[in-house]
Amino acid sequence: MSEFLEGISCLLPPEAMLLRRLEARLAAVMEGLGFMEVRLPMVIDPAGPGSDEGTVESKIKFAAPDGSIAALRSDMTLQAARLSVRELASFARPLPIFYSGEVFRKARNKGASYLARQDMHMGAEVFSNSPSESGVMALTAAIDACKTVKSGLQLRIGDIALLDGLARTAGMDGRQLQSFKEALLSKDIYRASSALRAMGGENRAAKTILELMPANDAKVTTKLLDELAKDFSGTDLAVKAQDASGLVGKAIVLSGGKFAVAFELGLIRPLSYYSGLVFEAYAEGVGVPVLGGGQYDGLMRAIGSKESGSGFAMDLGVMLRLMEEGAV
Amino acid sequence: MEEEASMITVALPAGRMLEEAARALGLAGYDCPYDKDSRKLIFDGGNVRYLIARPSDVPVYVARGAADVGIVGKDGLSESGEQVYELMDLGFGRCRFVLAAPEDDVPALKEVLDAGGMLAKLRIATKFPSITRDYATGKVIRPEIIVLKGAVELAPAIGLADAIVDIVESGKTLAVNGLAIVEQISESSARLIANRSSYGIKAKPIADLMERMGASGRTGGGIR
Repeated sequence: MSEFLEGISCLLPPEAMLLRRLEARLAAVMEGLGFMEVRLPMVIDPAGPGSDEGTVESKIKFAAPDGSIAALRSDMTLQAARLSVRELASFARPLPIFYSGEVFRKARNKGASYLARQDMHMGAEVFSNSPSESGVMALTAAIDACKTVKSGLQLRIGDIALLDGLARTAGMDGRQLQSFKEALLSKDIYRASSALRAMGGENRAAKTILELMPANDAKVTTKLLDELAKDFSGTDLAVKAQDASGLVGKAIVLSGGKFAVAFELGLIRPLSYYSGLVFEAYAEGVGVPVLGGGQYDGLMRAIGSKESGSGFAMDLGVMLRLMEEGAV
Repeated sequence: MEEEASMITVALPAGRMLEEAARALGLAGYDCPYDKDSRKLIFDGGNVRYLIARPSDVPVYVARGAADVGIVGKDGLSESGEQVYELMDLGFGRCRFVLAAPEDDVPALKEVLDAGGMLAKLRIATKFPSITRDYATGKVIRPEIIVLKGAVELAPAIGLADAIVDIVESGKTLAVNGLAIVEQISESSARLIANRSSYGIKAKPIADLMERMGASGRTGGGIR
């Protein structure tokens, strides 16, 4: 298998055993919160509703026996979202589900070729008629999943809608906003900061983004968000700032002091379908998130649903490394 | 625990930028006891541990968590493709990325590119395949990228390539080898980069480092 697609590999006995234990532990956490397990197929239709959202370019495609194009799943959120509007349409809302399995993506090699990348994910999604309900339930589940890591974890919360609102208020047009968000997505804080500074020191909204963009701790965040709500009192921005402040406060309470909570307005997730709350958790010294997710109502609209969807995926490969180091 | 959170590991680039990086850290008030005659690759200075790594490896060390922050040229960072926070332009180590070709071929190439057209076919020798591939997309219909480890200026002279993509400081090496600049691709200078986890977990020492290293501090590292 690995000779055919470099990057695809098997799990050998010690690691497979650890993975089984980890999945059982996380499944118990999810079931304890009322989430129901689903199993999702490995192969997807890359042309169906919503397939333009998310990881379009990274899908590994192939010709199916009937001549149509199929793909290996590169992400399970779209599969879960489609499931919620079809097979699970009659289930009561809020509908909390979870799943685990492999996802496959094209990863660019340093040379001209592309490698396949195989990641193991445990994901959870909540579908609800209330955006705040789906967001809070997904964040709560993510926080409980984070508690399986013993120490050195930081949960970072961001808000795409607040970022968009502030950037528009600062005077960014569509093209500037896209370029600004591309800089943030590529973690180019220097370019993003330069764009904001170019808007002038008197631009209150640009200054606020600069202050809220880094991963600030909760105390600093609360103060800055409260100031923002006061400065833009009576506007949609003030409401969004208060909501974000409330969510950070809730996350701190739910974390029970087991890990740090920070707010990072500059947090943009690599999947384009996130539209509101976003979050990522990092373990000390690990350069990729242990867990990441958020609210994706835009994706739900793309598949013809009026519901709100929120969820997260935990990187079980990172969790296995932490387990081997005794951190899980 | 508190002490651990204030300790940071900085990866420094070996070679032409090392002395400038050590000087910049010294000017910012950090104890950076770098000795150019020593072969030591790891040394301590107060709350900072320094690693000296090959420039192209600095983003890898930082991305994988072996270092919390690093100093690397924008060129090496772009080429690496590693996911790290790019926090500051440190201002030193300036150079340009250019497409260069034999002097006689430059007018024809420039004419096509200046008119917004695409070159039909071009064999480009380079040490920077990722940057070259990104550049060639939209400029060359059928690019052939020849990856070399050094002395790329030689490639057009011996018929191995039609042009090169390389770093240029003064342009003297190009001229000596009968080459001239067709167009500039981008500029590069030293960047301060941070590991994605350390950016938040070690926000305070990173914010301090940024503040002390430049007037543009406090924008990336967070406040604790």
